[in-house]
Amino acid sequence: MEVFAELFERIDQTTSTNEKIRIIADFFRRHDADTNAWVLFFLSGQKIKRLAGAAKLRQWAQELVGYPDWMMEECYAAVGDTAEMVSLTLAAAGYTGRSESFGTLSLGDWMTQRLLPLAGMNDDTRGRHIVTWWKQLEPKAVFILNKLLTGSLRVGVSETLVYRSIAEVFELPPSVIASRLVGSWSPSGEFFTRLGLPADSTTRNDESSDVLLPLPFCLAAPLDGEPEDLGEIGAWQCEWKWDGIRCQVVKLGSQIEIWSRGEERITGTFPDLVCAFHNIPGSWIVDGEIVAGDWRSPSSFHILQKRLNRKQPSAGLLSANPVSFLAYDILQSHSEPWKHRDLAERRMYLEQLLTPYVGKDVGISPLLTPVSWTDVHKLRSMARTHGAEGVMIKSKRSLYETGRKRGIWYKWKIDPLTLDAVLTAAQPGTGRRASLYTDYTFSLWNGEALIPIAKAYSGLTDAEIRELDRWIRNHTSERFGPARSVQAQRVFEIGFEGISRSERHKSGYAVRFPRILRERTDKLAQQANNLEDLAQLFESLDARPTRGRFEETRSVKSLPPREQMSLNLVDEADPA
Amino acid sequence: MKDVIRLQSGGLVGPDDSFHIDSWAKADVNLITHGHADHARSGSGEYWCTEECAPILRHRLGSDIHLRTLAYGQRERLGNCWISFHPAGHILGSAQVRIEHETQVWVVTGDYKRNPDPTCQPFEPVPCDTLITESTFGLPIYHWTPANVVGQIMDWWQWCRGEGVTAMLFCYALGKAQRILSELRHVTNEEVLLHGAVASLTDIYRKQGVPMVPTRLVSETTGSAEGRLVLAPPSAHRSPWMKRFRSVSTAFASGWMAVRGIRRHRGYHRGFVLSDHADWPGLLQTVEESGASRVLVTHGNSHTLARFLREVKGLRAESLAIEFGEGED
Repeated sequence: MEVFAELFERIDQTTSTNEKIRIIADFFRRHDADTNAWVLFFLSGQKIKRLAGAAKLRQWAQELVGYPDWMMEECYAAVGDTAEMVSLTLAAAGYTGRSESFGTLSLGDWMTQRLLPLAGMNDDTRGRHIVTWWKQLEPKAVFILNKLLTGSLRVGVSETLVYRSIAEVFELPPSVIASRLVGSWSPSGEFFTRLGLPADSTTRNDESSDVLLPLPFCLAAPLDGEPEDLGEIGAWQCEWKWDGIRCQVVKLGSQIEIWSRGEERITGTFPDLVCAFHNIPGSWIVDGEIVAGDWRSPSSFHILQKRLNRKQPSAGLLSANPVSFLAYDILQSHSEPWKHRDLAERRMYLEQLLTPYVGKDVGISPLLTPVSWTDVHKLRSMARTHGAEGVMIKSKRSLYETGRKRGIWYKWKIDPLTLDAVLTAAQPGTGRRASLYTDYTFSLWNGEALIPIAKAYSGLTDAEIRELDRWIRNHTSERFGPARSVQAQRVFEIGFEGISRSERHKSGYAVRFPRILRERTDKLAQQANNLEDLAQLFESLDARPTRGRFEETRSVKSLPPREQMSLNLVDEADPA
Repeated sequence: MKDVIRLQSGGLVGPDDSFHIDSWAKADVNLITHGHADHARSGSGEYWCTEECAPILRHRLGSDIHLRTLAYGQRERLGNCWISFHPAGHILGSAQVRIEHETQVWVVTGDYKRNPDPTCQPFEPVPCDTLITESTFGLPIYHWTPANVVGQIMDWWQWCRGEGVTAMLFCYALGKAQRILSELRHVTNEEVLLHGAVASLTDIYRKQGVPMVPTRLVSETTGSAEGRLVLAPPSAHRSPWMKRFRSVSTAFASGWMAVRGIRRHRGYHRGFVLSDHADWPGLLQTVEESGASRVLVTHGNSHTLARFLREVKGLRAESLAIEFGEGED
């Protein structure tokens, strides 16, 4: 546990990618395969089943230190992370130990002999064990232990960085390591050792494999600047940027798996789609997007949200919230890899494969046909009425690369909708924003009253955050635990992606993905927008769209934009 | 019984407005607990401070201020009060103010710490009826371990040297920088480079006989700064001044670095937990040793500490909302 805590601290202390790779590779060289397998497991973002909830950890710690509830609450607000709050509180009260006193149990042994067996115990026994460990470990190891227990450990390394570290240790190409690490695997010493086998001795998706794995996703970079800089438009393929769940469908004979971009298996969530894919013969890997409703007219975000994270959805849920699939790309067909061919060639093959089976459940993302970059500007400005959140611009010569490679795929998102709203409340953030007031509530006027319409966390610089934090502390009108309401003085321009009706919100509307664009220092609070403005904006978006002038054959009609899917968007928030 | 010390819009005020303490209004007589900018402000008619604090105050507010210096423990009459300064252990010349008025004794701690610091006299508990204490780190998550912080700084410096980068350590220019320079003597006698803002204050410390490792201004260094340790104020972080260094590893020495989220938010490569304020156990110890039956809490987490003292320790305690700076440390 201590060596892992040490590794975590060292990774945490540097921002240099090369330095991180060196630290991780060094670690792997110096430790046993079992420990390495577990470290790899956690570094690559995988989690064990939660062995103790944050609330439990807090309760056990509270029983040790004897502080009242409100004090635990204040401590959490200042730290923004239960695991760390517990380790700091215990340390300050003298309840943690020193590393030297606790022997040299390896991480592998910690996991198999101590942590995993907790799963079969009742709360009391679990609590007793955990408290004993707390008293023996030094504070930073207590922190890591807590993170492992709550399943909330996030190490600041990307997947590709982990691939590169292991590749360095085994002197293999990162792509080989990457392909061996996709999907789920169990952290054993044997597995780790196998990662180092020569490159041609393992193959993916071979007959013996009982898991159908996706390929590492190729990702688009945001387009900074103007598309004109990309050169000749003829070299680029344009599509709508759909807003759903990006995924890869892997079909091997009669077996099908659907993988999200975060390489989570979501097959069980979409049995209706699996059914549809069965109709498409052969073995293949297709990249695409799951959208709400009929892909020819993707509908409201609510539907997709209701379908997310349901492992075994009921028939009622399925029929009430239909979804469909829009194909983007083909990566493999009959065990023949296509990822190394040009996009233009892949697209032709994709159409050839899928066109006979296009129906209400499965479609092909339509190509847009701009003849100039001016057309692309126009398309982008129309995206919202098509239910898209922008335009994708992909090089026709691009291969299906691993991760976000520069210069091949771009996403050019539309400018957000905006309103000027008044800052009315704030509470401390979590994670790196802990102890600063960074979770802001913004409100619009309704007569004399200010009605909250959005909570926003992002959009300010660190310096602006600190200035606002000081202002909030000195202009508090009321305190509710760690939250404060503030005097209605400061106006901010809030950007968001869409509006929908909501009965849960006092304003009657929910705005999607709100963020702060800038402060309107030129405006007094009284000059901020009112609820009527929001309602009008909603009405204007609800108008039926017109048929796209630049769109090929399959017209895509649509309704207002949809909710940002919640997959992969979770920040380090630790809901305790 | 009437309060001896009251809070006005300009800060703490004594009986009949006979004196202010760390006032940010223009006071006739302003008692200064220490030389940090949010406690020592210009515009007052007359300043009182400790002898050790005087050169700092002149440096900050101008040599023409009207200044009266007292030795630690020296009792002086001011209005109908007896005033004395007592060591606070915060920085060189920092003081608690003891105010004796008729039958009551009040103590205003100013900023203080209970951990050892080779650059200033250690905190001295002063018995009183009412204690006005700071609470910058008034939460039971803050605990300064006796860990060898200067050893950690040294390890990092050595690492930087191995990497051929400059070890850029940010810390408050008054107090923290000199404390580091003084504690470094235990592990090295190598020269440390200073940002101009740190250098002028370091000179003041040196003149008062505080032993420190040799130093030199960055601008007076001819050789390469790679592998060297540089002390600079946090305001220099990401400023144009940094452009003169080819490649740096940045670090910040502060009590705030105890919390990972804050460490990440500030964007330094390293955080060293080194504070000139009292940690939670230090605050409780100080309240207890004062014997005060009433405690007023200012600065930082004042509501939390006051409530804890009230509800858990059974003391008369309340929060005083003084608008100081941002809890610099």
